[in-house]
Amino acid sequence: MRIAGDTIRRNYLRRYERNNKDVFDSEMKIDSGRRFERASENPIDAARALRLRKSISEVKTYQTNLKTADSIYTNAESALMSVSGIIQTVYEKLVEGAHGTRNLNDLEIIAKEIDNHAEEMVQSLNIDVADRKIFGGLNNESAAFKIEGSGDSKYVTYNGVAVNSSSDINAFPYSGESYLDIGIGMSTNQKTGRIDDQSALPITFSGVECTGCGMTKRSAAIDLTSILNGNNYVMSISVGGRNREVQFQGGTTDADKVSKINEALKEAFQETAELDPSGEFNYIDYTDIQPYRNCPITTTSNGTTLIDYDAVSNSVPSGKTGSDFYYSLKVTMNGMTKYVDFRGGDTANDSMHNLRASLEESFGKNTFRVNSDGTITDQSGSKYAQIENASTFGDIDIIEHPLDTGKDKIDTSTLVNDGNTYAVNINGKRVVMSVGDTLDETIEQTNKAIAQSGIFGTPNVPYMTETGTLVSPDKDQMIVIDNANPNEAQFSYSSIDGYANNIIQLVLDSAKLLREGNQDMVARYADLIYAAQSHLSIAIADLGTNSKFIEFNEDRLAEVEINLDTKQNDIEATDLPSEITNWKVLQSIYNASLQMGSSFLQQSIFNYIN
Amino acid sequence: MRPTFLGLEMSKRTIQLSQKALDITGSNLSNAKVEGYTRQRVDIGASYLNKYANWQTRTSRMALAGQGAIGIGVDQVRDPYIDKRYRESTPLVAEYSTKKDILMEVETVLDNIATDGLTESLDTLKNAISNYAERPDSEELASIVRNEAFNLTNLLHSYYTDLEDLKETNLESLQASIEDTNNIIQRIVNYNKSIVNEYSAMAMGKKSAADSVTGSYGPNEMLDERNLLIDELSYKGKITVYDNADGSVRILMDGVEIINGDKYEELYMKSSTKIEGEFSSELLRDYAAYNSAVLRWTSGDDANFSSGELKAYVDVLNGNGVYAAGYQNDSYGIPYYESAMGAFAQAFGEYMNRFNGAVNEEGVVINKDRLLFCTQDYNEGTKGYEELDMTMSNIRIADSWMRNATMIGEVYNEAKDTWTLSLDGNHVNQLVEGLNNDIVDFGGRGDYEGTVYDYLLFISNRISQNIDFNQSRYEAAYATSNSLLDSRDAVSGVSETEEGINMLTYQNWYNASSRLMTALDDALDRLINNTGRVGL
Repeated sequence: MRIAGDTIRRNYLRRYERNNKDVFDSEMKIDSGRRFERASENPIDAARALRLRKSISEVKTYQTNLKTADSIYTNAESALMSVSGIIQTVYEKLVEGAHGTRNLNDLEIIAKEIDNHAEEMVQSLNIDVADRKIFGGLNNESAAFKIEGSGDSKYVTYNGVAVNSSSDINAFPYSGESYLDIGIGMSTNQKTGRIDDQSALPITFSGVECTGCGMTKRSAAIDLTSILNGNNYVMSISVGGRNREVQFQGGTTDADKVSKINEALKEAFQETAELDPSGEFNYIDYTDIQPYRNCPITTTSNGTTLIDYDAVSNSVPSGKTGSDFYYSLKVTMNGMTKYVDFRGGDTANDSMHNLRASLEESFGKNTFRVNSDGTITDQSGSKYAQIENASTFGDIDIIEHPLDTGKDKIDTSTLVNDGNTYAVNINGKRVVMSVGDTLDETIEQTNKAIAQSGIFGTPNVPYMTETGTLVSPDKDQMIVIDNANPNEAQFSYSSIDGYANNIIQLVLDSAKLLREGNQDMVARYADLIYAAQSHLSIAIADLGTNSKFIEFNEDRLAEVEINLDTKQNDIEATDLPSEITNWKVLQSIYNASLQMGSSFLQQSIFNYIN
Repeated sequence: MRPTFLGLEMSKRTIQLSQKALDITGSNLSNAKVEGYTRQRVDIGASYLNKYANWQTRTSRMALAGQGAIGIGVDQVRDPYIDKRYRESTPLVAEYSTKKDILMEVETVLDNIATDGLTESLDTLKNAISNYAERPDSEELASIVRNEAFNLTNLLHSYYTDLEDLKETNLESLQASIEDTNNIIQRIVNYNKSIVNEYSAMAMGKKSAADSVTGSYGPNEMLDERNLLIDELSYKGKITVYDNADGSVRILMDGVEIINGDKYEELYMKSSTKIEGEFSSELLRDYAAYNSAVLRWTSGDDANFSSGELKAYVDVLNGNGVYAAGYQNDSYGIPYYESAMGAFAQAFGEYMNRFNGAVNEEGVVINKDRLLFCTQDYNEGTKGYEELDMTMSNIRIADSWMRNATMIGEVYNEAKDTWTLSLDGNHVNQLVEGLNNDIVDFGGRGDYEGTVYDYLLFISNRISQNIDFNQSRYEAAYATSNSLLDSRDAVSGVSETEEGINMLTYQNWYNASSRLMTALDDALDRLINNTGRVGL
């Protein structure tokens, strides 16, 4: 091949530039310590590097979370150990107090010491770590444990509710669990919609779980003679983990007083809906009521049933829209029958969408196909569902947002014996009203049906018997009462006692017994306190186990971090020994190319002819 | 009978020929570094008798033999096939080189490797959410989450500004390239005219005007200049070059005849004055009118390019991948990365809003007070939430979130129809889990369905692989182009050594011819001055 002068010069320059660039690239790698500055220099390694960075970032988050958890667990353990030490001291004091040779003065001194120890226990359990009340459950605002009352009527509350009021730890306020993601595959339980408790680390502790709650048996009775006609009273009452202040007025007779107290109790504790004669639903928060109508369903000549979505959306009474009504369907396919309620829509598409959403919510996705022609089929579209109205409901009028309350009301004039069954939807729940001969009968039947169905929860209203004893419908729930406000009129009451399960309450109760000089019971309480320590021991053991788990995970994550860092270095960091060697080689090539250039570029025949 | 001065005449021509050969050698050496110069040579032939020529007779043939050499013409040494192959490779070099360079600038904007990009920002946000899960009632931790979200939106805003700047820069580069193309076209046409005139004067051997002058001795330097311009034109787009009979050329660019003799087309960017709004330049207005740079020839033909620098600019300015509409195309240009980042803004914002109970599955607002992200227009009250998608430029933290940082920790209480703070952090932890695992459809065009983080990796991978592809294609095309350039130089380039040897050869030839002249002179001297004087 004939080589022109320009070919030599151009190729030399190109190669020189390449050599120069190679040296520059190598220098960059050494200077920056990075194998590549841009993802495009090495797309595959860059993709791996970004994934590693994500993993490293997650590990750092988990490590931070573990540090927080470690601090919480360490402090919790130390608080419980401290309480355990106090209990040991209290136990010894009680044994000392139970000794027959002690006089009342001695017992008073011991009682005071024990009261102080109860305060110390409360302080230990109200420990605050990283702005968390670690034994307050989900309560971070205020101290979880408090000693209320005075003198011999002291009682312990947990998150505002007397610890004696329930033996169910979940019945107390702020009783939920809070979790930290520590990299053990945090996931959501699809059934409960909550974080799977085995996929993350709990960082909240129930104070009543550690110290015990409820009583072996306890109720209360109000001395009806202490309640005077015309006076206003405020009663603090804890039942099954719920604490309410109940205001009531004194009455003329015992029956009148009991009636007024029961009304007040219902007002305070009732949580399920109740229809009243005005057509309003009481005891629940709501604003709108949507009545149920019969769904317009037609049947074709070959027996296929269709929903007329246009009629659902548009054939509505004047002044109403499709979304003002609900429908209840019975859907049968492949021998299987399903019931589903859905809300109409303002357009045919909205109605269809609402039905689809309701079907999916009830039976899961990809079960049915809701088609625009009004049919419901299986996913393949080959099998048609039989659709019919689940019930036949009469048309009922709703008085919308009356000025007095702003809450929708039912026009109760239609709820008198007319042979119909009516249904309405409140807060997404269906309430069926069986019409009786009179309005009162309809209301009674309806409220009974609501209570029995449990759609708004179970009614759980404590009540007073005609003798003044307070009773909870749930036999396992304890009742604790007190005068809530010292400035209001006071009533007399008595506790129908059992033994407290809570260890602090036991300590307080034992101090009371010491003051009373009841040394036999003091000895009994010393045994109870000793036995109640088991709650603490279990809690301490649990904390210890979790602390070890935290330690294990800290070690595990430290190793994972090292591995990830190593991998990241392998991918992203310059291998200095090999790169410097490479740089030396490239520099030699560069120098050689320069030298070559200087020797051959000027050479031609003209260097040799005269 | 042999003419007395035949030898002297022949010798004179030979001396003149060798002098001309030396001239051309000198010219070759002189132009050795001139770009586009094709080495020339003097075509020399032996002078011979033509028995049919009317100035000769049969009896004179012997006497007139030995006429010596004559110069036929000065030719340039060029291979049209190599020219064609070279011009096929240059548009590829230009296209891949330009695309690679521009995409590297896009990569610099969206970089996640050397700087803290969106992946880092998302990681930081997730970490803040994870920390917030520990204390959902903490205003401070909730504010940190909101601040990190704010930083993320600001990063998207800066991406938008940088990509728009990059778009404008490349729009200006495209305009410069269009002007350059038109300039090249006009210059080629001017050379066409001059070359035709030159051939008219020089190609005397043509029997008729319709005969092609191709292969005739022509205006070599002008041909070089025109060839150089054609080479430059091939950098702009894929061209096909045909020689016309009159010495001019006809050039097609991707099927459109843009030059034919003295006729030509010019390229321009389609403009529009119909679009409203304020634009800093007419270029930006024209681009905004069609969301694209629309190129046309003056004939009205669409200017579509299959390769070359113009294609590269059009692709990076009009390439919108799966989001392409109107005049846009489906390559991955700046608009695509803007759309892809916009899809991220919309999908991420809507995911967060849906999680927070502000919008339903269809993206329709069901509780405006729960919005975490929205458009700037929504915050300003000029547009409804559903009227405008969130994009890189308009995504904002919703006013509702600005008013209430802990809103993200609230859950819906169905019975009371209110949202209350969930103290257990369950809700917030679910958000972390959702961001890690939930599959989200980005852009709704089938471009990508996956987790939020994986989408960012997908975009990062796409751009790096695009650059890598263009880089490798560029290197291949560049190697081919260089190889062809070497081949062309092998034929047409000036070799100083070769010219030096030629110079020596021609010098010797000149010397020999001169010596012959002396010998002939001596012979004539003998004949004229010393013949017939025997005994004198």
